[in-house]
Order: sequence, then structure tokens, then C-alpha cells
Amino acid sequence: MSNKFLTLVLMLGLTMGLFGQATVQVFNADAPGEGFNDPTPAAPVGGNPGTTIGQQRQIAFGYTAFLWGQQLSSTQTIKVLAFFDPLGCTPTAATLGAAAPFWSFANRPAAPGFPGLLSNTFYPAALAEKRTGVDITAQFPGNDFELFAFFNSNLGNPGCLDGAGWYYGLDNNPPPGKTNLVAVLLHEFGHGLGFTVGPTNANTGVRAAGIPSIWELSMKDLSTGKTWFTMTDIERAASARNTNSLVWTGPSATAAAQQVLAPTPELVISGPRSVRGQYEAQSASFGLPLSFTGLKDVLVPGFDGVGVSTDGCEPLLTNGPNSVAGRVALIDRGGCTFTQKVKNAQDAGAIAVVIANNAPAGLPGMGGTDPSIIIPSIGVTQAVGQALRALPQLSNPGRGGLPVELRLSAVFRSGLSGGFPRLYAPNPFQQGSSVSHWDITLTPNQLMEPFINLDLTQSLQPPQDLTFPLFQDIGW
Amino acid sequence: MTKHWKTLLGLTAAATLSVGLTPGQEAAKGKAPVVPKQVFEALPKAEAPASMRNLGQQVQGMIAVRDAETGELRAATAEEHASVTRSRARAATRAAAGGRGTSSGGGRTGSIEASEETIALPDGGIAVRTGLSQMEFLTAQRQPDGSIKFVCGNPLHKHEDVSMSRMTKGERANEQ
Repeated sequence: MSNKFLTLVLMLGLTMGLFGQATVQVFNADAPGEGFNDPTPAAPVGGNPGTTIGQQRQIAFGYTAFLWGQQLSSTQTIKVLAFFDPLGCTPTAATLGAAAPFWSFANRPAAPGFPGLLSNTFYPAALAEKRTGVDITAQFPGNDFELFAFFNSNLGNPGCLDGAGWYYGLDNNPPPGKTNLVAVLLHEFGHGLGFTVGPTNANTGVRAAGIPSIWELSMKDLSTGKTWFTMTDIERAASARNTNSLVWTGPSATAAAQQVLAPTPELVISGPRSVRGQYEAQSASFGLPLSFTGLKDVLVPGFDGVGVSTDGCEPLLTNGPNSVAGRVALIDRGGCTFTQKVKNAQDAGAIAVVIANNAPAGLPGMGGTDPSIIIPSIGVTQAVGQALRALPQLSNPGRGGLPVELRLSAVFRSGLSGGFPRLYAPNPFQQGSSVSHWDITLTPNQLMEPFINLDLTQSLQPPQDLTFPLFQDIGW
Repeated sequence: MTKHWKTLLGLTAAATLSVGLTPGQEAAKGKAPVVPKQVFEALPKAEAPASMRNLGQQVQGMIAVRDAETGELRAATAEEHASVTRSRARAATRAAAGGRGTSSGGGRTGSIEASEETIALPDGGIAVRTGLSQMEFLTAQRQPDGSIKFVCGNPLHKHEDVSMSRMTKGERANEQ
């Protein structure tokens, strides 16, 4: 084979590889007249040409299977057992449905059953079969599926989130109040294909049969420096509640995060040495957004002279050395809303505001709306705030302040800790939501966050989404 | 490099550029992806295993209700919980009356386990069958402004005030 021909073959292979090679086949497990076989007439909608509810459901599932199949690569057909059933409902809330790996597989060191898999590690069925090239589920006749999925057949009917039924269009353009079935399916199929720490119990940290899942290799707690793979059950349970410290360290998702996630603001301090550095900050949902060019000025403490005088909840003092006019005001979190603090600083003439957290963990939320606020503001950690207030320049009014710069960062990205994307680890633990999702601080919204957001695309990979990079990290 | 070779290279590069996006990425760019006709064909039928009888009834949905006075979601009272349970039972009865199959051509004939099931395989491997308690369920809740909030959680164990403990990005940021 000539080098030129080899190059051509490689290029064509690359081209094909971009599409993936997997067949995802959905099986209709509904009885006649229900679910996928619902004969209720329906008008074609959003590129879905089905003329009955049942047909439209089948096509939405088929389309989702197509999207995932074009992304993944496997010689083994991924079989999805699917059906609709009446699930729990009230007029204002409903269970929509779920999907999960039908099986997870692991071998044993003494008798390694499946080549291509790490020993003593659970893989979701579809991934195990991709890695081994073997239809492992075939040994379970009648249960030979890699995923199962079931969804609510009553959604939108009286008594079941009334009027908010499924949207069966394929165009990602549901009308307000409808539930986009394809978006829901993309998310749930993600869990079924491998976006889950299962079968390890994330709440208790206990492993099925004492064996870790493939996820545990890439789950790290920055507080302890340990991966879940090396932790005890108790340590895993604690890590599942360690907000902002549980991260995904897989190289594909970590690298892709730089491309997918939005830059965050940073506070840049040139000196003195004790505080010199670039500090990640939280952007505000109100006021003027920052740019990469940034804003340079002098940071001074804002005092309101009432109660906790550093919280900015009352009008700031404007006389003489206390004035923040023409300066960046440093204010502490707590006591009132973020917008009230920033508005008070703006009214006192400040050109920007830095709000220091009043809790040890993370950055202040900086949420709220107030169209009258026209200056930028950011939030920094409690540690940064305390370090700043310890400086002579900021410990008392009239000491000159500290030169700082507020700007969008070329380094920091939303939803990262230590450079790694965060997993959802709220405290208290939230069953079914915690751990097996990206954290909700990732921006833009990701498919595999615990909330299905209306601005999601149907893309599973960069530049829009981190789902597939994580899949690459676990062996897809 | 011959002209023929250059042409081939150019075509390949063009093909790479034109097909370098997944269908999902094309959709993200507002283009309708090319969808094979198989997507629009009827799904093959399968008889679900015995482990899935009455699955809907077993999924004890995360029951959150909207308080009539505050508009906030909160945990269901015992009476409200009973009401939803009765509603679910009626729905199941209707489904049963609709003649769900029990042997072939669709229909489920068993009961899935709440917890996972671990099986030692003859070749030394271990299989774990997913139970309901390991699943991530999507739920939807209507908000006071009429919009719907979608939360991925587990309805088996939760009868909680969703609005307080499951805040979205924007909601969490609105704290003081």
C-alpha cells in the first residue's frame, strides 16, 4: 500500500470516525393500544411525521437513538427496552420517566471473564460490550438488553401536570409549557449509556459486590486528594456531599472544558506579595458584564456605619476617607441581597464592587436583577476577602486602597475547581441527582446537569457539551 | 503530487468539512440533520422480561405539590399523598382494563426489583442488574410563572420540598 493511499484511507477513516459507528436499537415493549401503540390521531409536528401519538413517540425514540448512535462507536448493537406507563402525577408535578443500564458487568482477577475491561471494575452493559466486542447480555435470554427506559404515558392529561404534555417534535423547539421528549430522552439515554456512578451507591459509598465502577477512577475529591477508587465507603459518602470539591479528572472532559465552558471573571492583584495573584470570581447576573480588557482601579472598603458596617446593606458612607466614589468597593456578603449592596455602592459613586463571601466554601452566588444597576460587580471567596481586609491599605478607611483589576479570565472557566469540571455534590445529598451529573455551576448549561434546561442543544460534544468527552474518559 | 491525487485529497478534505459535524451538532447550529428513513419506521417489538410488571405503580413518584397560598412547591401532606396514590391506582386500573398483554406482542409480566441484583457468572464475571433505587428519574414541576422545571432525581425516596433543596443555577444565585 502506498503512503499516499494509506494517508487517504486514514483521512477517510477519520471522517467516518467523527460520526461514530454504533447501532442503538429501541424495542417497543408496550401492549396494543397503549404507549408506543397509542392510536390517538396526532398532527405531524417539528419534523416528526407521525400521525398518531404512538407513532410520534416511536419516532422521537428512534431519533434519539440515531443521535446517540452517530456519536458512539461499537460493534455491538445497543438494545434499549422501552415503554410508556402511567407514572406518579399531580396537577402541578409529574414523574417523567427514567433510563438506566439494564446491566453492569465486571470480572474477577481469578477468572477474568471479559478482555478489554479493567479487572475488578464495573462497566455499564453497552460500554462493556463495546470494550469486549461481545454481546454479553445474550447469556440472559429475555433480559438481553443494554438499557431500559420508561416514560409517563399520562403526562399532560387531567391530573397529571395538566396541559403540559410531551412535545414530540425533533427540532428542539417546543412551545412554552410543553415537555421536549427528545431532550429528556437524550439526557436519560446518557445515564443508560454510562453517565452514572452506578452500581456504586453514591449516598452510602457502598459498592455492589465490593467492586468499584469505572467512574470512580476519574472522580476526585480535591479536599482529600483521593479518587473515589481509593476511598473507603465513608469517605465516598462524605465526598458526595463535598460541594465544589468533587470533580471529574478524566483527561478528555478536562481538556474539553476549556473549549466548552464560559470564562469566569477574575480579580487580579499585583501586590503586595501576600495577596498577589489572579483569583477566580463569580460574575453577577445584574449590572455591566466584564470583558477581557477589564477594569483597573483602586479597591477600598465600603462602610455603611450601621450594624455590620461592612455588609453594604445601608447607604455607604461618602464623607472624606470613607468615600468609595470613583473607586472599587469591597463589601461583605450577608444581611441583604446582592443587588441592594451593589446599588448602595453605585449610589455612593463606586465604579465597581467586589463582594467577599461570608461562608468558607465557594463563591457567592451574585444573583438577582435590578436594571438600575449599571456598574460591574464580582464575588470572591471568603479567604480572599479576609486576606484583603488584613492588608493595612484596606483595614481602615483613608489608607489609600489597593490597585486591582477586574476582568474576564483567560484561565478560569465556569464550573471548574482546580481546573477540573465539578460533579454535582450538594449537601444534603439528593438521591438520584447527586454525583451522577455535572454541577449546576457549569455554564453554558450542560445536557447532563440535574436540571433539563430549555437552552440545551442536541449536541453531545464540544463546542457545546461535555457529555461525550466524559464518555471517552470511561472508555467509549 | 499528481493532479489526480490533489483532486482526491481535496474531495476528502471537503467531505471531512461537510460531514465533520454530528447530527446533534448540526441541529445545534440550526440545521436540520440528515436523518435516515429507519428513524421513521416502527420500532421492533419486544416482550419485556417478567421483572417489569406494574413498573409504573412501583415507581413511587417524587410527590411535590404546589401550595395554594404561597405558590411554592412543598412536600405532600399525608392526605395529598393518599390522593395521588389513589389517582395512580385508578390510572393503573384503566391501563389494566385496556388489556395490556401478558404473554407476547408486548406487555410486561413481572416485577423489577427495588434494589440491584448481583449475579455471579459462570466465567467468573459479575453482573449487576439495575434496580429502581439506582435510577435517575426525571420529574417536572410547574412554577408559579407557568414555566416547567425539570429535575433529575429519584422519586422512590423523595417526598420533599423540591423548591428548597433543588435549586437551579439561577435560583441558587438568588440567595443573599
